[in-house]
Amino acid sequence: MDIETPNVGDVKIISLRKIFIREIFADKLALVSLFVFVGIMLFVFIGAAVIGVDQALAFDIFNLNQAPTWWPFGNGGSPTGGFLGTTPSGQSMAQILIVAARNSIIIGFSVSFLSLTTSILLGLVIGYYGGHIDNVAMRIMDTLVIIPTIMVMIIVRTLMLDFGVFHMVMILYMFSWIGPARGIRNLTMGQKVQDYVAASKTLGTRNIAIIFKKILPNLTAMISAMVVLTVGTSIGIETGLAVIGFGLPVGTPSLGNLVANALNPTHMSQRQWNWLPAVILILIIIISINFVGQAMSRAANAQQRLSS
Amino acid sequence: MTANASDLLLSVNNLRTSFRVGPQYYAAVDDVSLDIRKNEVLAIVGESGSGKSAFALSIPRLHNMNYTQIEGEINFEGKNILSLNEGELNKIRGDRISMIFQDPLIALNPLLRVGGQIEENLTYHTKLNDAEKKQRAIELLSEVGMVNPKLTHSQYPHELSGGMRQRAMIALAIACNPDLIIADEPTTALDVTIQAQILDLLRSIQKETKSSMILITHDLGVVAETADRVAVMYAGQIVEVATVYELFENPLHPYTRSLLASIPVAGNKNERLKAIKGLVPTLKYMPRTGCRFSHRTPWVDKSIHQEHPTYHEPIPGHKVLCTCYEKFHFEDETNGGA
Amino acid sequence: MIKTIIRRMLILIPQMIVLSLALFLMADAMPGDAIWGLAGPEASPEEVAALIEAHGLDGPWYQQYISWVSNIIRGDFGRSLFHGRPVVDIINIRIRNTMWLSLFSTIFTLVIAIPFGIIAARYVGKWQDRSILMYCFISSAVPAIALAILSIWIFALILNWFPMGGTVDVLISPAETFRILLSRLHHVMLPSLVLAVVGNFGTIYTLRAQIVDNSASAYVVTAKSKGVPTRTIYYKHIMRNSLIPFAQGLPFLIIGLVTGSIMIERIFSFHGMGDLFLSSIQVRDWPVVNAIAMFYGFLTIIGILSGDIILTLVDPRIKIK
Repeated sequence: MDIETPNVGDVKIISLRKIFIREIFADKLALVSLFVFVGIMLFVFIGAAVIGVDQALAFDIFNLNQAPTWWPFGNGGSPTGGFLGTTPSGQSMAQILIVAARNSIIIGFSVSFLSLTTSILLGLVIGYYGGHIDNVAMRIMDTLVIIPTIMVMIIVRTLMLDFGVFHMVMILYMFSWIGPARGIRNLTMGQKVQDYVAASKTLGTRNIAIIFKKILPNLTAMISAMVVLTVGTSIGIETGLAVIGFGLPVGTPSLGNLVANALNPTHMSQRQWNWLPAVILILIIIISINFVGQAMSRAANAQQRLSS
Repeated sequence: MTANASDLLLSVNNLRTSFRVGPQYYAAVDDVSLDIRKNEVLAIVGESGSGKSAFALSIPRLHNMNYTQIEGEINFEGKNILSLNEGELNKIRGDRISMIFQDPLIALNPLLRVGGQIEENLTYHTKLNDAEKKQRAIELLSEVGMVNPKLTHSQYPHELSGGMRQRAMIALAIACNPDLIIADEPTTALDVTIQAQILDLLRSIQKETKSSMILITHDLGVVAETADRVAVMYAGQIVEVATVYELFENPLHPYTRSLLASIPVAGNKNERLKAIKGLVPTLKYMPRTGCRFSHRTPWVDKSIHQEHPTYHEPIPGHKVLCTCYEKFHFEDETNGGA
Repeated sequence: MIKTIIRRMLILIPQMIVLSLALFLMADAMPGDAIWGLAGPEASPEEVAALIEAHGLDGPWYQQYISWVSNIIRGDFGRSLFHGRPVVDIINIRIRNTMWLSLFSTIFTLVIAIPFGIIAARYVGKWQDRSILMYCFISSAVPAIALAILSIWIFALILNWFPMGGTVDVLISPAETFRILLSRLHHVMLPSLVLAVVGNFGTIYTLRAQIVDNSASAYVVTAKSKGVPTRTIYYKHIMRNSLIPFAQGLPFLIIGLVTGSIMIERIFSFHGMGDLFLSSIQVRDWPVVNAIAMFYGFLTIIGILSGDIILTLVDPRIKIK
C-alpha cells in the first residue's frame, strides 16, 4: 500500500569528490584561481625548461639596465629592453622572472610536501595513541611555538655557508610542520572516538591498519587543503627572508630575491621593472593559492560535518 | 469550545507560524486556534516536530524574524500581540507573559551571576532600586526552593546543579508576577528525580499566584501530573482538546489513542509494544491537505477521514479534529472496535 | 587565584632557562667572530687573544654560560663586539623605537579590526559582511613584504604622503621636541599601518564569529523573553560575551606585532630592535643578537601568560588547576 513517508531526515549520502567539486565550482573565485595558478605553473616550468637557466643568467654587458620596450615613464622604452627590461647585469628580466617563479614554486611545493608528510605521521600517531605520547609532544610543540621562528631561520641561514634551494627548503621545513601536525592531531583525536574506529578494533584490526587505512582516508580533504595553503605560506616566508637579505644567493633567482631589489633606491624610484613584476606575480600566485586552499578547506569542513 | 469571555486570558486565533527553508516558507504551526483561561494549566503535548515549541515561542514573539513569518491573531488584554511594536511588546514580556526554557545551562548567560539575571527582569518592569531588587531576587530564589538563596544569588550558572539552574530559571520567570507563564519542556533536560521536584514547584507556584501556565511537553506522565486541560498537537495542528480527565478516560482522536496505547504499562508482560508506524513528517514534506494523521494509519479505510477536516465537539469541552475518531480502530482490532 | 598566577609565573623561569641555554649554545656554534672585526686584519694573535680574554670568551662553554647568566641577572648584557659599547645602551634606543611602532600598530589594528568585526557580524551574509571577509582574506594572503614595498612605492614615492623610511627626520635638530615628535609620528604611520593590515584578519574573523554565535544563543532569547530592550541585549549580553576571547588574544596580538616587525623595520629602514637584530647577525655581533633574542622570547612568554591571566580574570567558567 502506498505510504507517503518522507526520506529519513532527508539526508543524502554524498561522496567526497562531489563535495569537493561542488565547493570549488560553486566558488567561482576559487575556480578561476585554480586555472590561474595552474596556468602560471605550466608556463613557468615549461618556460624555464625552454629558456635554460644558464642562458637566463648570462650577463650581457651591452644591454645593462634597459627599460622594457613599452615603458611609458622616464626616457621611454628601450628597443633592446625586451618584454620586462634588463637587470643591472644585462639579463632579461622576463627570463629571470620565469626561472625565479619556477624556483619559488618548487620551494613552496617541496616544503609543503615535506612538512605535511612529517605532520601526517606525527599527527596521526600522537592523536591516535594519546596519553603520555600526547602530553610530551604537546609540551614540546608548545615550547617550539614560543621560539620566534623568523629569528631562528635567520640564524640558521647565517650558519650555512653553502646555500642553495635545498637548504632553503630545509630551513622552511624546520618550522612548517608544527602547525599542520597539531591540526592533524586534533582531527585524529576527533576521529578516534568515532564508532567506526571502535568497530574496527573489535574486529581485531591492528592499530597501524586503523590509522592508515581508516582514519587517514577520512582526513584527506583537510590534508589536501593544508598542503595547498602551506605552499602559499612557504613562498611568502621565502620572499620575506630574501628581502631582509637572508634568502637565496644572487646566483639562484627566486621571486623573493627579485622583490628584494625594491630596497635599492634606484630600483625603487626609477627602475621598477626590476621588482614590480615579481611583486605582482607573487601577489597573484599567493592569492590564487589561498582562494583554492580556502575553498578546499571549506569542502573538507563540509565533509566532516556530513559524515560525523 | 466557547469559554466565558471573562474567563479568557489569552486567545489564539488562526495562528500560522512559518519557517523559511531555502526560498520558501513552511508552516510549522498551521492555523491553530486555542484559548487559555485564567488560573489554569494547559498542557500542549506532541512529539518532536509537532510544532508545539514553535507555538509557544510565537506568543511572546521570540522567533528570529529573519526567517520566520507569523500570521493570525493573539489576543491578550484587549490587544493583538502580533500587531504590537517592539516597545509595547517588551512591556508585556517578562511582566505579563514570561517563559521558562528547556535547557537552563544554555538559557542563562554563563558570564553573568544568577542574581543579576533575575534582577534584569525587575529592572525593566518595576521601579525598585538596586537594594530592593537584590532583596526581591533573594526572596524569589528562596521561594523556588534554593537552600542558600543568598549564596546562589552571587553564583554563576555553571556553579549550580541542573535542578538548581532550572529553579533559578523559574525564579526569573515569576519575578514580576506574570499572568501567563509559558514553560517549554521545563523538565526534559533534567534527571527523572529532579523532574518530579520541578513539576511540584511549578504546580505550587501556579496554585499560589493563580497565573495561567502553558506547559509544553512530550511526556504524557507530566501531563497527567500537572495539567488541567490538554491540547494534543500533530503536524502543526491541534487534533484534540479536553480536560485532563476526559483525555485519559476517553481519548478520541486516533493520534491520542495511539499515544496512550504506546505507553508501556507495568504488568502487561506479553503484549507487544504498540508503536505508531512511520515518522512525523518533516516541515518541508508535511501533508497539507486532508487528515494529516491518516498517513500513519494506512490500515483503516480512507473514507473515515474528512477531506477538509473540521473540529467537532461530541462532548462539551472536548474538541477533536476530523471525523476519523468515530470509526478508528487499531490494526489488530476489528473494524469498529474500541 | 593569586597562587595560580604566581605558579604560572614560576614556570617562566625554567622556560627562560631553556631559551637562554638554546640561544647560548647556538651562538657558541657560530662560525666567524666579531672579534676579528673589532681587532682589525692587522692585529697580532696576542692582541686578539687579549681581546678574547677581555670579553670573557675563553674558557669552557658552561663557564661562559654561567657568567653570562649571572651578568644578565645583574642587568649586564655584556659589550657589543661590533660597537664596543654595552649592549644595554645600544638596545635601549632601539627598544623604544620598536615599542613606538608596536603601539601604533596595535592602535591601528584595533581601530580597524573591532569596527570591521562588529559590522561584519551585524550584516551577516550581506555585502558589508562579504566585502569585509574578502578584505580579511586578501590581507591574510598577501605577504607583509609585498604590501610594505607596494605601499612605499605608492604612498611614499608616488603620492608623497609619507616618508620612504627611517624613524625620524634627521635634519630637525633634537632641541625642537615638538617637531621631532611630529616627524616621528609621520614616519611611523606607514609601517604600523602595514603591520596592522597584515595581522588583523584573525581578530576580525574571530570577533565576527563570536558575535554571530552569541547572537544566536539561547540566553539571548531568554533576555528577550524578559522584555530587555534590543540595544541592551546587544551590549550587555552579546558584545560582552564576544569580547572575552578577544581580550585573551590581545597580549598575544601585541607580542606578534613586536616580533613580526623584523621585516617591516628592515624595509622601512626603521631603527628598531628588529633592524638591529638583522644588522648584528650580519656582522656576527653575538652578544647583541643573544640579548635581542632573549628579549623576544621573554616577551612571547609574558604574552602567553598575560593572555591566560586575562582569560581567568574575565571568564568565570575557567578554573585553573
